[in-house]
Parts: sequence; structure tokens; C-alpha cells
Amino acid sequence: MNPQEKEKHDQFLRLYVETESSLRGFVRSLVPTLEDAKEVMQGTAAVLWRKFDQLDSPKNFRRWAFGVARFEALSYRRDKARDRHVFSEELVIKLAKDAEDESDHFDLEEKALEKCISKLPGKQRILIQEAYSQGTRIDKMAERIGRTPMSLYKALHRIRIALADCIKADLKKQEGLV
Amino acid sequence: MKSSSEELELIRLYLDSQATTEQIQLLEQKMLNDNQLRKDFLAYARVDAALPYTLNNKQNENLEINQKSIFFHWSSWVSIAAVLVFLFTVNTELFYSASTSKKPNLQTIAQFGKLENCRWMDPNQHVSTGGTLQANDRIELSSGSADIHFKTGAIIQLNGPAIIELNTANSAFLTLGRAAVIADTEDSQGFSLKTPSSTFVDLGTAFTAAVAPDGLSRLDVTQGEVNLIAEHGHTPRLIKAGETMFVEPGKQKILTRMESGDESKSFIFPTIQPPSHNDYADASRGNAKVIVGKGILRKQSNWEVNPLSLLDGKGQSEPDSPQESVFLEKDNKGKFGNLLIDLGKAINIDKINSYSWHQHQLIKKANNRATQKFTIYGLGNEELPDLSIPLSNTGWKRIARVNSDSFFDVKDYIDRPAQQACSIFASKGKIGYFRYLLIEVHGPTFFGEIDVFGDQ
Repeated sequence: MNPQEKEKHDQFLRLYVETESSLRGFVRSLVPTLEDAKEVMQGTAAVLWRKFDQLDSPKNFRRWAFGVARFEALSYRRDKARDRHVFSEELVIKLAKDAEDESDHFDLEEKALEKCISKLPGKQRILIQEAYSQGTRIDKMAERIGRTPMSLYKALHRIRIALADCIKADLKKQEGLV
Repeated sequence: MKSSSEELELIRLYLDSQATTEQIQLLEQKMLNDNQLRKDFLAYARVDAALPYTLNNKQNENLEINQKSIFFHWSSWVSIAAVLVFLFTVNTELFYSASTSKKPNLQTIAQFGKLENCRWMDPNQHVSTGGTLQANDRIELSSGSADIHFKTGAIIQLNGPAIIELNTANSAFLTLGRAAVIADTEDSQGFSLKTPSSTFVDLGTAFTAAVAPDGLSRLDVTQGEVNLIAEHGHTPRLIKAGETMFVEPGKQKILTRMESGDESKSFIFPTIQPPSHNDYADASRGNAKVIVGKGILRKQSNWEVNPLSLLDGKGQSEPDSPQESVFLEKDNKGKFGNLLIDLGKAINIDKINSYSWHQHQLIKKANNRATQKFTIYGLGNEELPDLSIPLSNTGWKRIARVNSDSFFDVKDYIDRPAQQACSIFASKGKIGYFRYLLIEVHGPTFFGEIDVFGDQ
């Protein structure tokens, strides 16, 4: 790799790593599963890298990345729609617009999420830690801890709602609204 | 969240992939007209997406705090575990909670070795030789090189820019960049390096893996053998010393192998077969035809090459033979154009091989037309769309990207094999079901033959 390419590669990595977490949340909201989100993220990264030369200024990377991710998610859903039911493009476009409008807060949300996880009761914290570890299968995990898969899904659902509410409260607090 | 519990349950079902078609339709109808529900849906999805990463980061923070007194923690937790085993008989759930929460914190699996000119993506990161690493630690190296010594004896040399995550004492995940692995100790047998597109399992050897930002993975085996597993359930492929393989990202794992030939008109390669008459597209069968989709085919007043010669079952008879080579002129924008193969009908394709040969007999430096640089796309439709429309808008699927100069690490003409073969195939099953193959050519390659193997 020559110095120029290396510099370009380096700059791309810095910008991508800075944007990755908020982009991931946005993509997840547009596709059905975490696995789908991973795949769309991969496709998005590919396009961003391939077209990186076309970016007029690094300042615009985030906005540009969101645009690319939205397009990639839409294409992915079009492909997926052949073998399973997915949301219509009309709804996806609405969701994408909503997500873009709020995307400035995504970084703050992730920081708030860290705090909110700390506030969870110990058992709940351990439960999500295990459930979200790489390779965990909910049915196997449920079997191991002596619960039904459905009760585990519901428990995780309650935790996610609690976290979403906690994040919202934290952000409001930061904005001085509470 | 302001939405009703029934609506939130629909969201859960959808994001847990448990929703029926009717439930997805119901959720969709509701969301189309309900801004608040959409907001809640997005917030919920973002939590779901962020959790694996946030939890991982938190775990790593805890690990840093615990690092200095790791041995104390080992012994402490052995005692605690003993107590918990006792409690197990009383309260199963309590045991489960405590043991899983602390187990990962105990594993020091590697240490930093030699560090050279390292710049980290996080400028606040303090790393020094001997610093310990635990399971799930993520290393983001901006430049320089860092050695990582695993407890099993495996060593990874990471070259920035690179991102790697350590999984266990004998495995890691390379997200981006280049990593050289030496795993020649008994304990490190089976060391596995995962990338976004595949897993490389060491069989007592040395290899280098590189991952581009778009997930394209490259494996170079420098010593011994490596098993390449493109996806769980796929048959491992044994890659031997001196061999290199590319793996395209995405669900359909497409592998690309390139080899240098014996520079004879027999086109003999180590593993790739010579140009063949037995492929589906061979001209003798009359199934397929080749045309120049875009661009200008090079010709002179005394000779002109028929692109169909790409399917005639043989390569060139001499090392510098433009009259037997299909090659495109570069236009004033530096583009070469494309070649279109029409197979007559859509077929399941197993493998595509391409061959090139170029070496000027007097000017040794003149061998650049041997380089194969192209992107190949496939289309299953019966009707050929307008090729002036962007391919992504007309249903074309990218099959593979080929750049043999990059593959052979060509820094000077002397590194470039004069005779080259490229073989493209799927890790499992077929490449795809295509009628048309479009080869976007990115160089002045002297193509001698293209073979397409598939349904006969």
C-alpha cells in the first residue's frame, strides 16, 4: 500500500469507526434481524469505501453514510422480500426519514445506554449480557437456565423497554426538560 | 415508551423474527399512520442493535480495572464459584447469574509483544509490551505494527490500519486490515482467524490474512496448510503453502483463486485446469456467444480478433500474440469497457475460469497485458437490459472482483506472472443461476480463453 492509499485508508477507518455505532442503530431499525443488520452494514461499508473518493468533505461523512445505509437497507429488503414478508418501501422510507431526523442524538443515546445498563438490577444485567453474547441461541440459553424460550424472550423484551425508557429519561434530563 | 403493550409486543415479535405475516402486516398498517409507534419502534430497534456492542465495551472496561490483580481475582472467583455451587442446590437462577457475569473477566488470553510505531485509533489508549489481553478485547490500530502473543503460543502480527477482536486463547476476529499468524506450537494447532467472509483454521503453520473495508478477505499461506471455511456447514478447503485465496463477502461465498502458468501453449497451472473444450460455453457446443458490450476491441489493418475465440477451448499459442488475444482499447476517460457472454439460457454456474498470457520477447518489462483486472456480474433474466443503465438498477449481481496484480503482490514487472489463470467458484453449491455474464474490464488484458462450467 503506497503512502497515499494508506492515508486514505486511515482516514476512512477513522471516520467509519466514529460513525459506526450510530449507523448500526439506524440500519437495525430498517431490517428484521441483527444478522440482517450485520449484512447491510457490510454492504454499506463496501459502498462507502468504494465511493470514498466522491466524498467532498470529511465533515459530510455522517450524512453521506446515512444516505448510503438507507439505500443499502432498501435494496436488501427488496432482495429479502422474495422469500419472506417484509415492510413495504413506503413504510421503510418513513422509518428512514424518522431515523435520520433523530440521528444527531444517537451518540448520546449510546452513552445513556451504558448508564442505563449499569442501573439495571443485577439479574437483568446478567441476562442481557448472556443473551447478547456472540453465538448465544435463546432456546439453548433458556434450556440451560431452566426457563421456557418464550419467558426468556419476554424477559428480554421487558429489559429492552426499560432501557429505552431510561435512555429517553436520561436524554430529557440532559436537555434540562425534566 | 408511549405505545400500548400490544403494540410493543408486535414490535418484539418482529425484531425477534417471530412475527407471522399477518402480524407484520398489522404492525406495518399501524406504523404507517402512527408517528409515535414508529418512534418507539426505532428506539427499541436501536437499543437492540447497540446492546451487543455496549455490553462488550462495558465488559472490557471492567476487565481493565481487574487487569492488575488478575491472579487475586482468579483465586477469589474460584472460592466464590465454590460457594455458588453450594447455592446451586438452593437457587438455580442465582447460580446462573453470578457465574456467567464474572466468568469472562477471568480470562487473560494473550499479551502484547513487540510494538513498533503504533498509533491507536483511540489516542487515550495506553498499550505497552507485556500488557494483558482478555477475551472480547478489541484492538484498533491506526498505524504501525503490534505483536499479540496468545497463551497457546500463536502469534499475530497486526499491521495498521487494522481492527481485531480476540475471542478465545486460540481464536480472533479480524474486522479490517492485515494480520500475519504464526501458529506452530502444539497448543496453537487449530488456531482460527475469522474474517467477515470466512474462517481460516491453522493446521500448524504460518499464514497472512487481510480484510478490506468491504469485507473482502484474502488468505496467503506461507508455510504448512490452512483450512478455509467460508461458512458454517461448508466443506473446509485445504490451502497449502504458496497458495492464495480471496473470499467475497456476503451470503454467497465466492472464492477466487489465481495461479501462474508454465508459460507454454499448454497453459499448465498448479491446480487450475488448462483452457477446456468441455465447458458449457465452449464454442463447439453452440450454446454461447461473446460480444463487446461497451468499448472497442483492439484490431489492426492486417488482423482482427473474433471475441468468440474466447470460447474456443484454447489459449494463445505464443507469449505475445495480439492476433490471438481479446483485449479492449482504453478510451479517453481511461475506461476499457466490457465483454458480454450470453449463455443462450439461464443455467446454474459452477465455475468460471479466465486465462491470459503476455510477455514481450525482447522487452522484459512488457508483460502488463497478462494482468487480469475485472469485475464479473451475472444476470438470470431472459431479456438483456440496456447496458448503459447502472448495473445495480437492472438486476445484475456482482459475482467477483479480480485484480491479479494485487493478488500476486506485483510491485515491479518481475513479480508479474506472464501467464495467468483465474478461477471463480462458490464455497458451496453454485455461483448462481445466470444467462448473461458481464465482464467489466479494468485493464488491457490479453484474454486467451474464458470457460464457464455449469448445467450441461
